[in-house]
Amino acid sequence: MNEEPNPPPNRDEARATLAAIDATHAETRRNIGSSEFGPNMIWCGLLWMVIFTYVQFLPGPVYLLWVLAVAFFVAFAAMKKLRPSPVKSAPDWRVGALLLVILGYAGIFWALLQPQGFQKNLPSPDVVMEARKFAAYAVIVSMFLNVIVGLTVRPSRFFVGLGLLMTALVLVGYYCVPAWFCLWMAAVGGSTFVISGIFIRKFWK
Amino acid sequence: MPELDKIIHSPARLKIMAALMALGPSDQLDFSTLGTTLGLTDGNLGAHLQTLEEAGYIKIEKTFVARKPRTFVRTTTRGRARFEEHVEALREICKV
Repeated sequence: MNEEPNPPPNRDEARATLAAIDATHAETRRNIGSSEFGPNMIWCGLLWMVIFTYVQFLPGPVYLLWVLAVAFFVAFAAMKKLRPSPVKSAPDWRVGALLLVILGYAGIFWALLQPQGFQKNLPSPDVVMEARKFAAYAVIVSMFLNVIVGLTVRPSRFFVGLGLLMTALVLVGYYCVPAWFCLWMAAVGGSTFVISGIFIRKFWK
Repeated sequence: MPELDKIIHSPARLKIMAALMALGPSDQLDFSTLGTTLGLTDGNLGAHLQTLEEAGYIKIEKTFVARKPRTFVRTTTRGRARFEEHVEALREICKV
């Protein structure tokens, strides 16, 4: 391919070229589906609000709700995987290592919080306490996943910040507003996800 | 002082690199998705990819997925570094 060498761009041309790079970047992400991340986060926040509000007022077999929520997201992710992806990623040994770290973290917090959600016929105050423990456990572990991903797989201050902020909110709610913990998580945690989703949708390129 | 890269400076190749930089370093993008995204014909895209591959900026891998041939493209470490330097040089020009 014989081409005339391009002369160095002037200031306006350089600015236009940078804008073209940004536009191509955004268009590529839109085409490969990365732009779905923002809306998914908004849906996640709304689901989060519904589950926590439900648990606040009707504390029952709360673990079942979390299992259903996780199953829903796993099924959703699997359905998306069935379509031939335009992107192929190299196998990454770090994913296996990260899973082990997350399992270890989950194990430590299980021992610390001891959410015995499978026990039946608990007296009413214990049921409320169990719901609170289980909710705190689910959030703390899933937010640790965010921090790890933000530090390694996809380096991003956003993921790390979100993970740390949500963990702090869990601890504040767990110790400072125990009676309204789930409602606290529904409002504060859910809206954090929704606002993050809107932020990603508007500003991520 | 970062320098403009003559190979990347061509508008089509600049867009190809910009598109591939939207992925992670070990991610590969399907040839047809790349062509659709950039609005380039297969022949034109193929020629520019060849130039970038000869410069060591990208890697092209032909493979079979569900018995159908597919071509995937990814940036190399050298390609990513050169692209970032090129963008930095453009930013420097904007500052002047």
